[in-house]
Formats: sequence, C-alpha cells, structure tokens
Amino acid sequence: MRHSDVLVVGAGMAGLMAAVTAAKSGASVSVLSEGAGVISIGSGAVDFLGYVNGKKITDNPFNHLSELGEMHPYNIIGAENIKNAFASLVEISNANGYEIKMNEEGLNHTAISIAGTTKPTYICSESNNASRILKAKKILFAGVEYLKDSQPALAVKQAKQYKIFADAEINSALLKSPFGKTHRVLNCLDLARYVDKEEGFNWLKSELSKAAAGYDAVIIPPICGTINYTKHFKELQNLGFILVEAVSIPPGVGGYRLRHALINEAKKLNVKFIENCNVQRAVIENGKCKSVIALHNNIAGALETEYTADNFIIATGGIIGNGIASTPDKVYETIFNITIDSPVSVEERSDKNVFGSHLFARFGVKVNSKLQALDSKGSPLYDNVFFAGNTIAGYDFPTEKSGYGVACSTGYTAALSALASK
Amino acid sequence: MISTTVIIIGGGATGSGVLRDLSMRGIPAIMLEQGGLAYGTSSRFHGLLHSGARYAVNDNESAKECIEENMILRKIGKHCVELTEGFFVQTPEDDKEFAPKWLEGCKSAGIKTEEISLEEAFKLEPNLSRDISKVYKVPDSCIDGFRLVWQNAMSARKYGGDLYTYHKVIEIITESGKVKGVKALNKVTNEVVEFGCDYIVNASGSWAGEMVALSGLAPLPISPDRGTLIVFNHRFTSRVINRLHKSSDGDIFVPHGSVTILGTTSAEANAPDDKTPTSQEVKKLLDIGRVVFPYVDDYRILRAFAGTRPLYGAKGAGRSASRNFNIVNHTEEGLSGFVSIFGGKLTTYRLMAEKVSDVVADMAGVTAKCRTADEPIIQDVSEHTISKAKKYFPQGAVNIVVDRIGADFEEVLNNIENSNEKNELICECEMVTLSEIKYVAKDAASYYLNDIRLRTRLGMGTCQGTFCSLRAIAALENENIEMKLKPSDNIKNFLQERWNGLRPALWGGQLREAELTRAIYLSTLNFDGESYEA
Amino acid sequence: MSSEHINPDKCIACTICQVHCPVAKVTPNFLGPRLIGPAYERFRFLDIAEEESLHYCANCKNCDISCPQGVSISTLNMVARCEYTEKNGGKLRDWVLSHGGFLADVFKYIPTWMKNFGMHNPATRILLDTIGISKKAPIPKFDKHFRLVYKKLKQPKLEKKIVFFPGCYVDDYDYSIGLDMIWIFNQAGYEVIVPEQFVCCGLPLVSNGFMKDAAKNAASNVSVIKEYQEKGIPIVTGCPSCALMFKKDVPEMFPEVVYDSYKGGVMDAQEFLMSCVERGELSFKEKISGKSIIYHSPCHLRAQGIGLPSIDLIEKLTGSKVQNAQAGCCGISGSYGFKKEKYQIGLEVGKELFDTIKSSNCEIVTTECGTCQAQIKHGTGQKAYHPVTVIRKLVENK
Repeated sequence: MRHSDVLVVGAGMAGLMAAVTAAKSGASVSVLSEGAGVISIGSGAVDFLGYVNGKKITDNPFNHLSELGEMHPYNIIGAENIKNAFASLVEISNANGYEIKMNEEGLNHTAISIAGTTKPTYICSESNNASRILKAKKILFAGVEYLKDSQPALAVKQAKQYKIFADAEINSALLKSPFGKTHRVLNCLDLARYVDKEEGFNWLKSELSKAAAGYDAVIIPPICGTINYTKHFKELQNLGFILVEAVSIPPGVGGYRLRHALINEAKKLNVKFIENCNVQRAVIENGKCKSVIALHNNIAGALETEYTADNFIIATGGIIGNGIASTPDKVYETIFNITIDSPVSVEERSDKNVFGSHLFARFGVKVNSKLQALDSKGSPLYDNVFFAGNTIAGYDFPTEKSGYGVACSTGYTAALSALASK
Repeated sequence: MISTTVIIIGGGATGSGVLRDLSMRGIPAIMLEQGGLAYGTSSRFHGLLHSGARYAVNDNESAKECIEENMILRKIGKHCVELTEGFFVQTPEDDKEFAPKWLEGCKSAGIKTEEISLEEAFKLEPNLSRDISKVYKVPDSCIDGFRLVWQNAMSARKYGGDLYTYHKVIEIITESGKVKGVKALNKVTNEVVEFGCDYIVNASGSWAGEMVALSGLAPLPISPDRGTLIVFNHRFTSRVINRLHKSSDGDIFVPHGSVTILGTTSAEANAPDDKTPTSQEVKKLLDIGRVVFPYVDDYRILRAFAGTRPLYGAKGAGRSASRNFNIVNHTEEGLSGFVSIFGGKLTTYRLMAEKVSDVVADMAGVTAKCRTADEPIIQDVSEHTISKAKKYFPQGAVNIVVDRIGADFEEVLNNIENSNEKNELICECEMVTLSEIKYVAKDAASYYLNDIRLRTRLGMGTCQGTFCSLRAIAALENENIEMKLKPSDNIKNFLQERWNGLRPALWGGQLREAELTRAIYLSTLNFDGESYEA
Repeated sequence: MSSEHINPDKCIACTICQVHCPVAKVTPNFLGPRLIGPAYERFRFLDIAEEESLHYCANCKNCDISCPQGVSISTLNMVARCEYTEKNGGKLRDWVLSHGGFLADVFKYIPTWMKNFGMHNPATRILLDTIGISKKAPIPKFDKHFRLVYKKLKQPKLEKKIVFFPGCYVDDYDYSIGLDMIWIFNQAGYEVIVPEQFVCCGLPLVSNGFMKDAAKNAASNVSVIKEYQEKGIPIVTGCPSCALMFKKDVPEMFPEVVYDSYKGGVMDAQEFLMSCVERGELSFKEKISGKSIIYHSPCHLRAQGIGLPSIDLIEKLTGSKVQNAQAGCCGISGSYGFKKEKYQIGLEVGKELFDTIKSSNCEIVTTECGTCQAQIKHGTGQKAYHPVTVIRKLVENK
C-alpha cells in the first residue's frame, strides 16, 4: 500500500508535472506534499526564458540556450525534453479546463502586471497574453473599487514609460465593487470566484461594458473566474474590445487555475496524494534509495511512516519549499542531506544589489542529464533518485524569467528517467 | 535666505529635543537634518529606556541621570515609551562577585531593584534559560526612537519651530568671530540653501566632529564606535533582559513592539555613517544570546542593523569611554554663538536638550525656563475617539496607531469618516493602514517611502516590505500623493534599504522570505527587466 | 524544534492558507487564517490583538494542510480564541455544543427515545435556536450509549489486544460503528478493550474556547493511553478528529501532558487495519465488487499526513473500487456548522462536495467522521457510512 512505482516528493509545478507524466504511462504514483505549493498563488504564466545575462530575448528562446552555460538545467536536459514537456503541459491544461497557449512563432508573449510593468512569458492563457494589445490606440487600465492590489493609477504611470505604449492613450478607472466595503478586503481570487457564478459574471460584463466605451483594449486584474474562467472569458471577448488580465502578486489566480487543471489530471490518472506530509529523510540500502520517512504532522517525536518505491522524484521546491535548508554555517538538501557548496562568509551568498543575481539563487543539487544527483566526482549518488524543479542547482529563475519552465521540463524529464530506470 | 535665531544641526533625539525646548521658550529655531528624521544613531539603537542599572557599577553619575530621566520620560513620553520592566539575570557564565557590587551601585544611584524567585521569573518569561541562578527586577523600559524624534518635532512645530530634512550642512558662515548662518545642500533638489542665524547648536551626534571642523575650529575628539544589533521576528520576551555582569557585548534583549532586539557590539567605526553590520557580528551576538535564551537559534532573524555611538575621547576607547554628555561652548575658542553637544545616551536626551538650551537662552538673553519635563510631548487622545476608531482600524491596533500618529489622530480619523474609502490594511505584518500612510506621506518632511517606514513601521515586520512596498506606492499613486522618486524607483530604493540589513543574517526563514520577494518583484512584476524596455 | 510557545516565525506571508481556507472562500467577514493566525500572533505577544472575526475560524485545518512552511496556523487561532474566551467569558451556546460528551455521559442512563424526544421536538429546537444553535442544523439523533452496549458485549477470547477510543459520535449517536469496529478487529485477531475512563478528546472544547476543560480531558485521556502504551497495547480511534487531537493538538497545546514515548498516542484505526492487512492478519475470501462507492476525506484526516487509508482498506478487503470525491470540506467542521450564524456558511462550503456526491450517482457514500456523515445526509439526502461499516456490510452481504 505504501509502495509505489514512482514516489514524488512535492506537489508544486515540478512535482505535479512529474506525477502526471509518470502516471500517464501506467506507473502507480504517489505524491507526498507538505503544503499546496507556490503554484496555487502564482500568476499562472509559464516562463521559459526571458533574459540571458541581463539582455532581453526578443526571438525564439530556444536560440539562446547555449548562452546559459552547461550547468543550466535546460542544457542538462536538452531542447527536445523542453519542447515535449511544454507540449504536454499545454495538452493537460487544455483538457482540464484551463486554456493556455504558446505563441505560434515560438516567441515569448508579453504579459502586463498589475503594477503596469511588462514581462516576457512563454505559455499563458489568452487573457494574460498582452501581446494582443501592443497596437491598441486607447487602453483602459481598470481596477475594482475596494479590491486589494488593484491600483490602476500606478499601472498607468508605469505603463506610459514603455516604448511599446508610446503611441497609445492609457487611462485608469475603477469598476464599481459588487460588495462595497467588506471586513476583509477582497483580493483577486475572491472576485474571480464570484465571477464563476452567473451573478458575478453578469456584474463583470455589465461594468466592463460601461467602462470600456470608446476603448480598444481593457486591462483588468485576474478576476475572470477560476473553474468557469475559460467559459466566461470567451464570452467577455465579445464585448467589442480586447480584454487582458494582468498578472498579479499572490494570490495570482492564474496559478490556482493551472494547479486545478494539473490536480484534475492527476485525479483521472489515479495519482495518490498524501497531504500535510513532511518527509524527513531517506533510507538508503545497497546504494539505492529504499524509502523515505515522513513525520506525522511535523511534530517532533510523532510517529513516522515509511514510503517505499522503485523510483523517487524529489521536487521539493528549493529554498522556498524547504527542499534546501540554510543555517549560518551550511546549506544542504533536506532529504538526502546533500551538502551544497556555499561560501564561508554569509555576505557572499548574496549580491549587494537587491535585484542582482545572487549566489544563493543558484543553490541546489548538481545533476546529470538523467537528473540524478551527483557526488563530488560527478557520479550519480543514487540510481533511483531524480530531482526536479527549484531544488536543482544552476539557474536563477527570477532574473532569467525561467521559473515554471524549468520546473515543468525537469519534472517531465525526471518522470521519463524514473520510468526508464526499472 | 531663511532667517531665524537658532539653527540646530542634527535631526536626532538631541536635535529634536533642543528644537522643542527652544520653541517652547519662544526662541525661533530651525532644525536641519541631512537625511530623513532620525537618520543617525537615534534610529539605530537598542530601543532601551535605561533604568541606569547597567551603569550602576562603572559610571554611577550616568546611572543617576538615567533613572531620573527614565521617570520623567515615562510621564511626558507616554506615546513613545512602552512600559515594560527589566530583569537582570545571573547566568553560570557571570561572575558571582558582581551582584553585590551592582546592588550597592543601584542603591546609591536611586535605582529600585527587587529580587524575584526563579519560579516566578520563569512563569513571567518562560523562554529564559533554566540555568539562570538569580533574577532582579529593575525599572528598565522601552522607547521607540523614531517616534520620539517625530513627536518632539511635531510638538516643536506647534510652538513655532521648523525643520528641514535632507538638508546637509556644507558651510558654516562666520563673520568677525561670530556665527552668521549656514549653507545647506538640499539633497532632494541639489540646490544650496542659505540660512541666517545668531546661534548654532551642533547636535549632530557622530558627525559633531565634522561640523566643528567645518567651522574652522580645532577638531573635536569624537570617535564613532559601531554597534550591531539583531532584530528577531517576534516578541519572545516582554521584558528587557540584561546580563548581570560587567557591561559587555550582546548582553541585552529588548522587546520593541512586535519584535525583539538583541545587541550590541562595540568596534571602532570607519566613518560616522558606518552602518553595515557583518555576519560575524551576528553570529557572535547569537552565541552570547544563547546563554540567556537557549532556543535563540530557532527564532527567526529579520535583519541586522548598526549605528555609531559618538564617543568623546581617545580613539578605541570603546566601552570604557564615558557615557556622559558634554557641552562645549565654542565662544571660548573664539567663535561666538556656536555650541556643540555630544555624547550621552538617548535616555537622557531631554536633560541634554535642557542644558544646551539653557546655554543658548542665556546667550540670547531669554529668561524663560525649561518646561520639557512637565509638559507631555503630545496630548492624549480621548477614550471616545479611540472607541470610534475601532470601526476603521484593526481593533487591537488602535492604541498603537494613536501612539504612532500622535496628536493629529483626531484629524486622521475625521478624514476617514468623511470619505467613502475603506481604510485598507497596507502593511499586514505591522498593522499599518492607508490613512496612516497618507498622513505621513503628506508631511513636508517625507520624501521617500523610507520616511514613511520610519514613522509607521511599514515594511519592518515579517515580510520586510515584500507586499507592502508595492501596496503603499500604488495607494499613494492612487491618492495623487507625489513622492520624490518615480514609483518603481521608490520601491527598489525601499527594498534595497531593507536588503542591506537582510544580507548579514540571510539564512533560514528570512532566506525563504527573500526568495518569495524575488519571485514577486522580479519573476512576476519584472522590476529588474523593466528598465530595459522603457 | 522547541520553544515554550508556538512560534509564528515560519510564516512567510505567502497567502497559500488564505487561498485554501473554505470559510474565507464563502464569506468576506472572516479575515482569513494568515492574518488571524501568525500575523496577529506577533501582536498577541503584546496582549493587544483582538479581532472580531476570530470566531469565524472553523478549525478545519485546511490552512495547516496547505501551508508549505509547516506553520501551526489553526493552533495559533484556537489558542487566541481560548484566550479571548477566558478574558470575555464563553457563550452558553458554545458551552452546550462543546460539552456534548460530558452532557451525554451525564444523561447516558436516560432512555434513548426520551432523550431524542427532549432534544428533537420543535419546541426544543426553537429554544436551542434562540441560544444560537440553528433549528435547521443536522443535529444527529441520540442512540443507545456505546459504553453500555460494550459492557454487555461478549468478544471471542483473542491473544492480541487493542484499545479502542470511541469518540463522542460513536458513544452518543451511533454505537453500531463501535460494534463494526470491534467486529473487524476481532476478524484481525484482536480483542478490543474500551477503557471506561476515556472521555471526550477535547477538540470541541478547544474549538469553542474552553482550553482549561480541554486540558483536563487531555490529561485524563493521556494517562489512560500511557497505561496501555506501557503494556505494549496499541490504541486506535476510528474518528479522524479525535485522532488528530491526540496526535497534534494535545502535544502542541498541552505539552506538559505528553512524554517521550507518547508518539502521538493513538493511531488511526483504518491505518492500523491496513497494517494488519499487510501483515496478513486480515483478509476476506470473497471479493465483492459491483457496488459503486464514493469516499469523502474528512479534513482532519487529510491533516494527519497519512494519506487516505480507508480507500485502500475498502479496496483491498472487498475488491471494490472506491471513488475519491476530493471535493474539499463538508462545511460542518465539528460544532461549527450547527451554529446559527455559521449554518449557511457550512452549507455553502459543503456545496461542492454535495454536488460531487449527487452527480456521482454512487450507491454507497462513505466517510469516517461522524459529523461529516450528518452533514452529507443533510446536504445530499444520502446516508453516509463509516468505512468499517461498509466493509462489514459488503462482506456479510447486506
């Protein structure tokens, strides 16, 4: 019962992608997760590669992989795996209620944020794709009264600085709130859930129609729904202007939709989820990983459960997911206790500039093309253990804009490696 | 040119104290501060309102001054003093011979001490180490330096005083051995502004020596000494906890609102604004602190910060240098109307301000006496107002907000009542609402988001600005409140300032927080790439 | 880790708990787990954070489950609620709802029909409604008291022994679950002991702010657990809420009551039964399939980090396929959904589950938690059975 063909630790983008990929070919898959994963609060936009060495990529990102160096996970797994992983993700998401697309020419989309900044992304929903409005002449940035993180005045000021909007007239407006002042200030997810209902959808449609008179394009926070997003957004596209959802800070809604789609697929494939499960350590026998040990409820001294599997995929989310832990004196991967090289002086872990590219951003486990962890000599530490996502070393997702791209493609590749290792 | 009677150089505790004292005596005065208010040491210290017990053995004079001023500040500064008490605890590492000497010293200085049973001590402060063998209660308390400076400044304004922030004094104008005025560089506009005056009070703390040199007089032996402190995410002690031993590094834990501060260290500073803490210092503080709080490594460190103590005396004197304050009337050196005050402790700021104001009043022929010990710095707000406010502010936080805003609270509340807005919580970690931010942002002395931070605690809690910096800037933009930097620069500037303090303690929970911050600002909002596209 | 108080340091303000909170999903009157929990906790250390929406927290534990940092959010909320109750006094309604175990014990010799008449007649329901217990709430009917039935029961003499903690639902409202539990353990070769001294696990007491009463119960129950642990006899419970209380809430809220070898005190009965299956101690020859079964996972079970053992148990023992509803919280959250001002919230929270069950058209609905069973019946019209009852019925061909 507690044995699976493939055991995945972590249920974020990397873990979910690994789980569904493995389950699709018939393997029995269990996913052990401590929490719900940062994917549930993310923007939902899947970034492949936006910047290399500080320079923005304006052509096909695949052309720039060689500039990333051989240590980068993209180069470790290769372009073929990346392409297949992305295609698979799009298929899964579309089959489970959240329509996302890649650009037909293989270029990055442009997304626009609630702060009015733009960013490159590779796979996103039609609503997040702001490339559609780059030629618009009159743009309305609309927020909603009493909605948290919906301050269009800032967005307009910011957006006006971009060359791409140089010829456009951009204004801001606030749509009337359907609820007025509430004790808890509502966030985008609350409104998106309201728009799932007929009543909410009608509110949004009516407010947009009123506010958008005379505009070619309207940008709103991500509130077009969650489970009914696809249906409702389609209908909102027929109002006579291009409607864009901005990408937002947590809770970003898009990530919630994407996660819902992935979990749905996992459900269909009978993936077993063990939630609130804190994996403490691994048990190694004869050079292979026999099992992982989970502590109940994360209470010291509580009972532990052993989970065995033929193959293990570790998708524990790096520093933010506690897949990598740090003390003043050391940095290490938490399940196998793999030491990660870090400078003696704590200051050297980071760059002086807060937005710089920090050493700690690249902290992680070094892996080979199968995504097995490597020892100091470069040989795999354990044949049946594969790593995916942010726990892998060698990339800096915030500056590169490569977060979900690496998570998705390494999750996918780790599953293939696990399936091949029998 | 702007004319006044007294120019006060330095917008810290001493400077604002002098501004208030002089203004209350009817003497026109203008205070010039090179950064935001409390830029210097007054925003970079322990937050301790000393009972003086710490100086009982080595510096009984200071100890006496401390306890007297402590009692006064509790009375007049209710809105910036947090009435806690203090413990002196004897650990196995402390010399047992010290206790009797200390008790004797406290007695002679007039500081009340009371031994309490270990059982009671551990009930009151359950996180203390069980290896502690003796515990004494003392009247230590806590004071918020930023609030103190602001409240003195606001009170001074009501009496006709004025202040200019971001004005760095670059020249002292003299004529025939008399002070005539100063020239200051407006760091926001880059213009030079001239002020005319008859007297100058040099209350610039660690920069006092530089100011004296500007006037052409012989340099003062001010040696800035750097002290590093750690801020922990939560308040794991409700009392000031001191080690019962000869004063040394890392031996005081101070609760400060929602956080706890541990300090401090002592090292010769490179410059008056040497405020970069090192991870070595942080680790050292943790080693020492662990003796008192054995689980200190489990408590999340938010950041480290450092400030310089303006010590008077030979370089490298460190802890043995006197904590007394000194007033030098440079008239005796041939420049009349120029007075410097330096040294001392924040706890005795009012006394220092009184003494130097006496000197100035005397020179100016003004007979009005000092009243700062009698009149509260700001007036209380009525119970009725507080209960009205509970409708618009987080229930539990109303009193904190009153302390932060002070006498203008009624006005702020009226504005909310008369508008249709929801007083949104912008900084969830420190309970700062939109009305507070607007109020501070509109003040003439506020130019940057950092200024708002110092007055409201925006961005000083758990997330260190991750969510609230964007929210605050967006809200200000919405309200059409101009700040000096364009919004994205204001945010970057703010996060950069926070970052400087995060780096030396970047591990564990705070490193995870940093990853979340980067995911939001870089990955989703692309604030780093934005400049490439503009 | 250990400090003398529950440390809010792990929270990085990510809002994941907010996204997964079922109450925040349906009402904007609740500030949400993060603010109420770790954020305000920093101000509670200053003795100042009162928050009027604290009472909205259902203690469903979905925040704990979704938090990637392992913050004990629900514990922080409950401790805050208890402090509030101590300061301001508890409501009569909350006292009645949370002391159900105590009250039932006091009234256990009163004939069942009389208790039900007294409780469920329209006048009583209106009276209860005035003190705040919704007259529409699915208060379960009393049944014969399980301990009285147990006393008269004759079990086969078996070598292996196991202790069963019934929980108030089995004790007061459905003793047949207790009998089914004893039956299946007998099948696995265990004689079942139900110690007289067991009292209510204390979870409803904590949820309603009566920390001191919960502490007394915890101390009492844990001393019984200790006695049997020392004899090497395992202790199980079929109710996930009781199990979670012993495994997590007791060590966190009452650390002075536990000891080194406590290890959570009890095990989930279904998980233990799975280990019996794995050891070959429990199996049935005939495989029964053909019945469609849908399972609802109680939030308090998901919070234990042991997965969903009942699904495996039913499938392994009967050969049937079990569909996992995976539709979130049923909304009742123990005593929460019975409260007048929370009743509607409970229904809205549970809507997704009710719709999932109805559209599945499954013949059998199963879940371990008693109050979930009551809520499911209320929201779908279909009775829900304990997994062990389902296994027995299938095996005995009923």
